[in-house]
Formats: sequence, structure tokens, C-alpha cells
Amino acid sequence: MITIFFYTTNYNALEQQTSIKLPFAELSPEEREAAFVRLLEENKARIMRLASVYTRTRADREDVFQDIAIQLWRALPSFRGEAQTSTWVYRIALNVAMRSGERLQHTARRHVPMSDTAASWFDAGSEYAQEPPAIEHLRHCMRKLPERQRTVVMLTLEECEYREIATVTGLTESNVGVILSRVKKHLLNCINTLMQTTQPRTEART
Amino acid sequence: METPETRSTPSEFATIEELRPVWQHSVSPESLTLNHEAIIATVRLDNTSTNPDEQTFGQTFGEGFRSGARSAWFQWIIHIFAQFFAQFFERLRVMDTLMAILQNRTALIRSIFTSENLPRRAVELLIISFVSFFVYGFVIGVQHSFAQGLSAAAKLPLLFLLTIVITFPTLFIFGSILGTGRSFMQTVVILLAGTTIISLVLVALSPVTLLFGMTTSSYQFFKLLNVGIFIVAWFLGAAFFRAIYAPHTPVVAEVGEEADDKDKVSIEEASRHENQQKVHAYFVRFWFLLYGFVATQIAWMLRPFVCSSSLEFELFRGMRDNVYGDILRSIAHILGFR
Repeated sequence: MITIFFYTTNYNALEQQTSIKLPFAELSPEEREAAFVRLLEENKARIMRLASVYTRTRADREDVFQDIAIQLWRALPSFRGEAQTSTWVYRIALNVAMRSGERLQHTARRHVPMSDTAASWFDAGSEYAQEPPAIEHLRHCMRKLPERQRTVVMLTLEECEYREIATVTGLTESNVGVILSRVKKHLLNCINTLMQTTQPRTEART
Repeated sequence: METPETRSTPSEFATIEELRPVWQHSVSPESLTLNHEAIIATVRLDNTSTNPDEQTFGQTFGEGFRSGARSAWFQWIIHIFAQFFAQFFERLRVMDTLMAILQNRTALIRSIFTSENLPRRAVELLIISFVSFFVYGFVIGVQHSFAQGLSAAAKLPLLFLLTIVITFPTLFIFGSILGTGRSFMQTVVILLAGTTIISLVLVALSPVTLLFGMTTSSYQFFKLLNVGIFIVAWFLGAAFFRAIYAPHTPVVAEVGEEADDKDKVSIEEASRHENQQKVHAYFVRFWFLLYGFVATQIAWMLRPFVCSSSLEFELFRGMRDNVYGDILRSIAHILGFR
């Protein structure tokens, strides 16, 4: 079990959120690894959801997840606990997902077998929940949005507050509200249209 | 118990809040099992940034300083500086910034707007542009001699540094008056990003310069070729700069929405902002012209960069004539008027 040391107020707040001891660089290698795994466990679902918007296949999604995780690992020593952990994770995850997503779009995926280590990041028993058609429609409609609007919608769906969205995106809080009110109509129209077109087929199948 | 499989999805969504359960249950923590051993094995292979035992560039830099220090007080001052630089250099991610400016400018722009690590970003951009200018300077100078190559390589970064220092106050003060809303450090980083684009375009075109330098004996042609390449680089840098340095665009409030001073404005306010943006666009064009003129004048002061093979190597040529007359004479020479 990781022993918690208290250094500063900021560090206390972060440790309560994620059980990471700070300064991270002063931990022993084993403690660092354990803290990192714990951080990943706490944020794995939100990272994977975010990656799913920038990718189309499960394999790509897992690749992007790994890219984000590695970037988080590299950035951890410079994390001072000045922002909320989730804000920090979102910011890094978004930057990496955008970059990796663009790369995957522009390069045809070659079926190169991954190394043993990389291939076994996700347990064989790990299964995504049975996805209703609505989620694929939602991702499709989100992919059609401009980058800034997509980010605001994504963070709103993640139940982030305006303040947190503003910190991640660099917008003002009121601008986040404006963007959300503008994009809401388009997004709902898009998804409802797709739902209507696929509903009869789904019903017929069931 | 209700599971994602059994939960019924509505056929129509009226609000974003109704989409939340769909989104949240698309990937739930329970549905994803991570293999901790595999993750740890991967990060152990990637220990470059977290292993404190590893000697980083900054630490080596600091150690070198420490071992050279003699007296106690001098050693103490050097130690403080070395610690500062060691910590600073440890955090530098020059290659990440280079890749961001080449392939992922949206993320770079976002990090500027969110004021994320701006001093670090500024140093990284400075390093990239200095190295790029050094390389291009060497390519244009080495056509004459190795000494000329080194001289041009050292003078080209200096040229752009002096240009930035001289033109920055105009940019920041006028930009602030015109309501760009960018902070001091944001303006510095945006300006350095534009300059880095110029330097990278020059590096991209350096093989062309090298080829013509080796295969043509006409000094006038080579000089004009370089003027053309610098103009292309300057245009691309200006386009990038203009795209980022645009002021904040407010949105017109809809009927029933409340207008505020900044983001949601009334129609009257919006037309005022539109006029302000036009003035701002003219200012940016004017400023980049000024940047070009200042750079040209400094280049003339620091010349020669390109040197005729019939002349001896010299570090500076002194002030005589002016750059525009020289370019016109080169054009006349190539067209056969002289």
C-alpha cells in the first residue's frame, strides 16, 4: 500500500483525488509505477471514450490509449498539482488524441504485429459494453464538428463544469456556454436524424 | 439490475443531458481491464523522463559549471544558476514542439491560448529557429568558403533575433491598444512561432539553395535566388502569424439571450467589433511589412551572407549604398542591362 506524505496544500488536494504522492520525481521507481497505474485505472474509461471519437476501430482506439498513457507517464514529473488531475489528464489526452487521430487518418493502417508488451495492455477478457446504435451515431456526429466545438461537447458529456472546460480549451467560461448553445441544435438534429433512419432496421433485427 | 445491454435507449434526444448516459456507458471502467504488468513493463522501457538517476543535458550542463568553479561564493552563485538551468533544460521538449509546429499546429495554438508552459515553449521555439537559421546560414555562406559559412551561420540567427527585439514593442503595444487580448508572453510565443515557421521553410529549401550554389557561378543569380527564398519564407511565416494573432471573435446574442461585454454581444456591439477586426487586420499587415523592412535593413548591416567568389572573406562590409539599390542592380545585371 502506498503511504501518503503531505507536502503542500496543493499536493494534499491532489493526493486525496488520486493517491499520488508529490513531488512525483522523488518517489521510488516502484512507487512511481504504482501511482501511475492507479492514475490510469481512475481515468481509463474517460481516456478510452475520448480516444473513441478520434478513431474508428478498436485496435486504433487502444493504440491511442497507449499513446496518451505514455504521454501522461512522461508528463507526471512536471505535474505540480496546480490544476485538477482530471483537467490535466483531459488536456494531455486531447492533444495526444488529436495528433494520433490525424496520424491514423493519414496513414493506412498496416497490420504489423505489435510487440508482446504493447499487445497485452488490455486483458483478453476485457470487453467493451454492448454498444447501442446511439453511441456510434453520437461519435459520428461529433466527428463532423469543428475541433473546438467537438472538445466542448465531449467535455460536457464527461460532466465537466464550464470552468474546467474553459481551462482545458483556453476559452472563457461564457464562450464555452455560447459554443455549447450553438452546437447543441446541430448535434441533436444530426443524431436524431440518424436514429430515425436506423430505428426500423434495429427494430426489425430485434 | 439495469445493465448497459438492457437499458433502453430513447429514439430521440431533446437535450445534451439525455446523451450523457449513452456517452458514459459506451466505455465504463468495469468493461475495461488493464494488464498492470504489461503497462509497467512498457513504462520501464520509457524511463527517459522520469529516471532521476539518468544524467540529463541540464544536469551535465550544471555539473560542468560546478566543477569549474573555484571560490566558495562564486561556486554558490554558479550552483544556484546551474540548478535553475538544470531544472529548466530538463523540462525542455524541443522535438515535441518541432513536431507540433510541423504536424499538430492546432495543439500548439491551443497551448498558446491556454498559456500552457509559455516560457518553456518560447525557449524551445528559439532553439528550433536558431538551429534552423544556423543551418541555412551555413548553406548560403559555405558556397564561398568555410569561414564565410560559419560567419553567415552565426549572423543569420542574430539578424532575426535583432528584428524580433526591434519590432516586438510595436506589435505588443499597438496590438494591446487594438484589443487583441493576448498577454505579453502569448505575443512573444506567437511571434517566435511565426519566426520558427520562417526558419523551417528556409531549412526545407536549403537543398535547393545548396544545389544552385554548387552548380551556378553567377553571384548575382544566387543572391536573387536567396532573396526570393526569404520572401517565400516570410510570406508563410506571416500567414501563420496572422492566423493565430487574430483577436477574439464575439458571438451575436440571439433573441432572448443576454448580451455581455465579451463573448455574447448585441448586434450594435458586433458591428463595432467587426470594424475593430478590420483595423486589426490592417495593423497586422502593416506590422509584418515593418518586420520585413527592419529585417532587410539589419541584413544589410550584417552583410555579407552570400559572397562573390572573386572577393576575399570579410566579417562585415560596412554601411554603403542600400539593399534595394543592390537588388535592382542584380536584376539589371541578370537581364543584361549592365
